Amino acid sequence: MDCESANSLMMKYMDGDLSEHEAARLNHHITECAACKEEFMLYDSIVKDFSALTLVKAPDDLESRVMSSIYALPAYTGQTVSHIMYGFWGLIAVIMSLGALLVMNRDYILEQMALNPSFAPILIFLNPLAASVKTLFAQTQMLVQQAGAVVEPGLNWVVPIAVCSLAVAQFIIYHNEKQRKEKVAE
Amino acid sequence: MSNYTDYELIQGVLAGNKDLFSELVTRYKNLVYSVILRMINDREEADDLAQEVFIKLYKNLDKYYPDFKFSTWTIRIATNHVIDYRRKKKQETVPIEDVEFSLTSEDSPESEYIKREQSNELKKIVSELPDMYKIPIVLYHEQGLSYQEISDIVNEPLSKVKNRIFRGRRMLKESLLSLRHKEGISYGL
Ligand SMILES: [Zn+2]
Repeated sequence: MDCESANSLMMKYMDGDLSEHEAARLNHHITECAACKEEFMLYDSIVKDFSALTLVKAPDDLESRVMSSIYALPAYTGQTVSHIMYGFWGLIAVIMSLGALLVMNRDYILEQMALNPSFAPILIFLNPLAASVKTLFAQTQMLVQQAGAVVEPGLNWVVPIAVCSLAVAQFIIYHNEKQRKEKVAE
Repeated sequence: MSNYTDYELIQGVLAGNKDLFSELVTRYKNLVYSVILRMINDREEADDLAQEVFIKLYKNLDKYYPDFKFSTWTIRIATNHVIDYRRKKKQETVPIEDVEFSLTSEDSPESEYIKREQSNELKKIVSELPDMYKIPIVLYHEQGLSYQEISDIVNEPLSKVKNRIFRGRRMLKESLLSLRHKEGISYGL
């Protein structure tokens, strides 16, 4: 046996899973090789020193100090943060879509309101607002058309790129999962 | 309370029963404290850090998923906390005058105490290892964790963890050798 395989047996010895046969082989090499013998003695003393280390005890008052800090903190309510966040974003989504509906149908709404004289004071504010929304829409549309001329050739690349990145992402997920399973199997 | 599993205790704390958290502290305080002490080598600092780690555990308890053992998650938070702490401490640069002061105060009773604590050869050479070797070595050889558990804690693949432990052992062996040569101990080899 060469020194390299002796070394890997020493590692197995430190892991505590050296078979009887391997132990005999390592022993034999050590009797003939002074360098490996010294190495083994050092490794052996490291393992033994580790097992001789007394378990460190945490200070006795650690619990009471931790708990007094924790009593000062808010308690959990059984409702996780993510649920609250779902509620929050759900509400935002509803408000935004209602707003979008109102803006899209503004002409019809304004017409209906004009029929009722009691809306007149509000309409004084709403009509100029509707007008500026209209110009804003027109401007945006123009911008989109101008940008379209530039963006359109690039758009041809978007679909193949998206497909490729999806495939890569899928591969990475699959690869990680496989590695994880192999780790568990080892 | 001691009949509950870790997960049952955690569910209880998340439902609003803070008292159950003290049982988790009881179960893991020695583990957390000893890992921190190996990394920091100062009982007073280790004491404060252990307290901070448990408060951090409480605050993040709703982010714990039982894919890992609670002890694994706990040690991961503890080691990361110590690394962060040391990084911040390093950034507080020490003025040169203060360095001189701290050198002259080395013979205080307190530092004598620390010296005695570190007197053991092994403790000394372990403390000199870089974190990336020290953490897996301490968890494997002192705390008896498996390669897989350590891989979960340091969030690195198993092969990398094994390599670091092997490498760490070799570094320990080298420093033990030079330490013993320095001390003039001969083994008649
Ligand atoms: Zn040899």
